[in-house]
Amino acid sequence: MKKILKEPFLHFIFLGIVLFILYGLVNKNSNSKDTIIINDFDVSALISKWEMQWKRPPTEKELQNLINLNIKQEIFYQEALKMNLDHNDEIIKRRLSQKMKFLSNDIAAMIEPTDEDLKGYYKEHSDKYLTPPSYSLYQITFSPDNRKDNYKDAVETLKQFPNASFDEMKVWGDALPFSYYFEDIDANELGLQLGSKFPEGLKKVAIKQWAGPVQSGFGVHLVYITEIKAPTLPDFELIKKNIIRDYEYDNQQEINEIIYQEFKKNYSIEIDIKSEDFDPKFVEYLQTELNN
Amino acid sequence: MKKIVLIVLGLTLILSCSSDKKADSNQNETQINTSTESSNTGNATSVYWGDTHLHTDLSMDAGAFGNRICMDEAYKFARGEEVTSSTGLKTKLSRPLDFLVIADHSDGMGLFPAIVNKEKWATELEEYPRWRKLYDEKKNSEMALDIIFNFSQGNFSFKTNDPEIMKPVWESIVAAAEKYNDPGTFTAFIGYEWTSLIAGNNLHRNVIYRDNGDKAITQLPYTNEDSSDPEKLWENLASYEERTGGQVLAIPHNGNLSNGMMFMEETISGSEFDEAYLKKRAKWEPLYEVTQIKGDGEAHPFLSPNDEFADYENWDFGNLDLSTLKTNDMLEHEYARSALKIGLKYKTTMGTNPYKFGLVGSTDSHTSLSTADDNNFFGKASNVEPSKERWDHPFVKSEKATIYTWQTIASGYAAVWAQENTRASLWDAMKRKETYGTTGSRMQIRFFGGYDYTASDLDNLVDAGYSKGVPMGGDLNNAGDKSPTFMAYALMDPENGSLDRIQIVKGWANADGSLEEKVYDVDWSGDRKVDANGKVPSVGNSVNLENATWDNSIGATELKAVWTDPDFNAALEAFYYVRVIEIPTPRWTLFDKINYGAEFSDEVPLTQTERGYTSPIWYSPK
Repeated sequence: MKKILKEPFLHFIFLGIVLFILYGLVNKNSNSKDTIIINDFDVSALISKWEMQWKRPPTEKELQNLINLNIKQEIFYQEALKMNLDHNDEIIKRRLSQKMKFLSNDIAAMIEPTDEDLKGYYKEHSDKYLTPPSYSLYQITFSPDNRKDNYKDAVETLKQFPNASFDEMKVWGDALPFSYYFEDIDANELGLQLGSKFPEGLKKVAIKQWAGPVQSGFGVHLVYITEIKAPTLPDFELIKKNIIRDYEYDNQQEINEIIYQEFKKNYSIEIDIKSEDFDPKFVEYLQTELNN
Repeated sequence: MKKIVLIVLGLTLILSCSSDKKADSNQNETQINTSTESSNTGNATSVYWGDTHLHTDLSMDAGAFGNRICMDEAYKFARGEEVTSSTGLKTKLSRPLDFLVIADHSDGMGLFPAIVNKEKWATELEEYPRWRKLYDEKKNSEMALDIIFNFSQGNFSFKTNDPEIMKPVWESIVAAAEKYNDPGTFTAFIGYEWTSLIAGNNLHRNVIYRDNGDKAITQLPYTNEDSSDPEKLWENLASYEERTGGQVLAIPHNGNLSNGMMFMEETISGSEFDEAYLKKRAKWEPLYEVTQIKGDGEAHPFLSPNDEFADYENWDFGNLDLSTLKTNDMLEHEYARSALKIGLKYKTTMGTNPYKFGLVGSTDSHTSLSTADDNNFFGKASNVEPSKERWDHPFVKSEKATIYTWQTIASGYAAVWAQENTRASLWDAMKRKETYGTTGSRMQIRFFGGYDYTASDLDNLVDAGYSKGVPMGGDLNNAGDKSPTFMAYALMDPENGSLDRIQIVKGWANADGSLEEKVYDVDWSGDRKVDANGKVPSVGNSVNLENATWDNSIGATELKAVWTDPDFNAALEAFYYVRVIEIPTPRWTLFDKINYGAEFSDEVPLTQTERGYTSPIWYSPK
């Protein structure tokens, strides 16, 4: 079935048929002779609805009752339509405009994106999928827990041992439960582990040398950045599921808007506000904004 | 009309043509990962943060309160993306969550959208004209409260479990979870809330599936309409597991609104406890949601007069709809610590502990936005999203009492120690209770119990912890002539307050049946000395009320201790859990004051101490 739905030609024919039927229904008044037909489909639908609720089929009497209720409702509905009771009913308005939105949602959902669509979307929104920069770095922590002035200690340690080897520097920091060496860790992950200040601070220090102090959520650090990898775009296949999800969400919003704007072109909106209570500038604004 | 049809036709044509060109039927199938296998062996090395209790506009009360955003937004927000709230505010989390359970009320699932959309079944309800009128007059919260009151009193004229209504809604919930579940990155659990209410007393449970959609889709959620009796829920869950081979668990919450019914000492139907009942409760409800927006439920000052931290954001006013006010005799059957103690009593006398639960926190937010940060708190429901006036809004109001919005708290999250971020790995960790709850802060807490820990094991905490004992949620037995030793460790949330102290809370059952508790301070910041009453003095309060800042230097970044129970009696049932207290930080009300110029009455607190509660480790002589 999914395959068939993807065939563009059938897709088109199908929509055509649906719209033809819809159109027919809307214009029913002109040739219908007020006949209400209860067919197999209607009766089975009534029965299955009953069964879902009561976990058993209806008795003959109950079924008869259901059909009667249904006919009654249909007749009232038809008569109400003839009397134009649906006009200017706020609830009906809202419901019908919502149905139009569902229709556009359905249209959006029927158009399954091709890989080409998705790749286009992926390129266009590449900033959304860019990985953060990633770092390989050594760090030692100066925790305020056991020091009077951890910032000063860090500054002095750096002054004293600007060229210390990784092994030598290690001993001057405090033990906290994260690594001395982080290999190829992205900035977001560093932010989660050490607080968002830390990756922000890394942007400001020189690489390939001991530098700092850099603030984190736990104190200050001296860092030796061995490598920074610039943001990259992950392979399409790797994040395809995300792309589909985002594409569908955006597409639905967009199609809703396109359809609305298309319809709107057929209407000119006039603002007829005379009360002095409203600022004339506001009225003018409405008039120009709403017709754009 | 003709014209409109033509336009639709035209648009469709244009749209289908544009997709024609690109048609490529090769790789269009959406991949759905149907595997629930995972690496669940080895030590739990990572802590994952999430919310097990979030409502979207599918919940009848959430929709009525003005929630207009749904599951897409809920998942996007939890994953760290920016979304627009129901009141039009753009917002994002300071840090993404690792997992989310959208737990909409199973009763009346989809009722609200149906009222808005005027679906036929909804318009036929006796209540429809009344609700419709309130909705059309934009009296959303009145409508929501009307729904809550009448539902909680069992006054609905209609059935809230009509499968015809529930089925499409359940299908959409399952589909959304499948869509946003990314094993390894973000876990979207399938779940729902069973909204049991007996005369307004809250007995709610959130049901969480380990399974993927293929199994979960085969059975509709259980409802309060089906039964308000948890035993019936468990039967339903058992039949689901038996039929599908799947796995589910249930997490109760808000004992504080149950008027003594959450942790009763008889069954809901009024029978005496028997072993089968005790076992079922322990099996199906391995966790309790100890803290959330509607109050913190760890301890109550009436029950724990010697615990100076017990008086924390408790809601002890009455039941969920305030139809019956609270009396002190109800409290012992409402609070987690007390329930854990009652559980020991049944373990001693009947051999099974019905209240052997671990702890998590969650929000129970009805805004589709899982916010537990005080500086970004979107409130309990969409009618109290951030604004100058929200604090004064009556949140629950009856003839007998009123609970105001300022009394809600920006709490909490669930922390789960697991091997990887998948449904299977996280669910298994919940089942074995390797979890803790916080009031929103993301502090890291480890807790291990054994007989052989030494101070040097703190340097090798995780390996030593697992190899020489059990983690939070575990069991110790038969001590012989030894005393149990515990390792407690906490690392502050790098975006939040530093730490005041780590405490170990012990509860035990004496041979004569009496129940006792004691709170031990095991490590604390600075060089404070234990006072004459055996207490560590207060850490102070550094919050600047003018700009909502504070000074972390009064607390510690990390605290740790190896602690041996000095009062241990190997013959008595006992439990031990860790409570970590942060230094005082701004409460969400202070941010409302600064950001929106809210002007409060004096009773509104402006600071608070965030805390974390671990699952216990139990000791049994047997």
